[in-house]
Amino acid sequence: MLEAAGNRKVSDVHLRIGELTFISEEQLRFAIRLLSVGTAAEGCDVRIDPVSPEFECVSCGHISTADFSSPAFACGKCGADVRVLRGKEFSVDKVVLYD
Amino acid sequence: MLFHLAADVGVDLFSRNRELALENRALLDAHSVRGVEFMGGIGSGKTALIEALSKDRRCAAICGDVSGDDDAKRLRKAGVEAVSVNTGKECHLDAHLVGHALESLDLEGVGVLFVENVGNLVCPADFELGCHKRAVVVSVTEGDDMIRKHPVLFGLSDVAVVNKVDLAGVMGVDVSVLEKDYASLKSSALIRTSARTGEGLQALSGALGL
Repeated sequence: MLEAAGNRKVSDVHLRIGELTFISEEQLRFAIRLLSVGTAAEGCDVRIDPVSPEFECVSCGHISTADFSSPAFACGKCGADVRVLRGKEFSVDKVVLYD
Repeated sequence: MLFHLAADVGVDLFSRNRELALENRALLDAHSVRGVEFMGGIGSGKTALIEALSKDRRCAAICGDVSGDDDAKRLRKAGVEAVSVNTGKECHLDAHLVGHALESLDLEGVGVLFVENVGNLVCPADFELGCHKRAVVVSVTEGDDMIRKHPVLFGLSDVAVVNKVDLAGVMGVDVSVLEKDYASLKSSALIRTSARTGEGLQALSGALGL
């Protein structure tokens, strides 16, 4: 990505992080700040879009949500197991460069 | 200053691990090997459970540890074809490390591959390895609060075990507290085991599809 940027500096980076991952937003921002020194991304704005967990019941198909601090991995309707639909994302969605 | 939108890059940073996990799964399926991953706390008895579950079966194992090959040595003594993976500064296995470890195992005729993750109740959850079942182990010697302290790892695992239940009285731990915490997360039951006495091993074997 930095190669593609050529001589242009990175203005901001948009990340998407699911709340069921063990990625710490604060630690990630700190690491990017340190690692980007002397690169086109130095001083860029890191924008993080958190993704709330969403589950689908494997038995009745009921869709439910939960947060990281009090997750429930059983269906709120019928009590069966659920599968994770959203909440495990970790992606770079967009990089914006100065023109 | 004008902005130039470089790209909607859409780079999924976990995707390579997922692809490699699928390759590992395909390799296991091609050899009709059942893959079972054990995650869990340090010293919770993961290796002892693998030893116990390996009896009367032809098994292989990949043992992840920060350093040393103590677990692999133990399992080899129990007749398991075991390789050690030292993760060094990493606190978990990933599909890439497991894929390389699989290269050094002869899977022909093996019924079950156990993958023992590094003792850790946090980040192993982020890295699928390609096994058919993921189990998480805690033991009574860690106290009765391990499940509510680590709800996501327990929630994302297929099977959960509380081991060393024969020591519950000595440790002053009420196993029903762990069961209650687990019941608030999942529909399946927490499996009580003692690798030493053999309690619960049949139930665990069934839950893992062995």
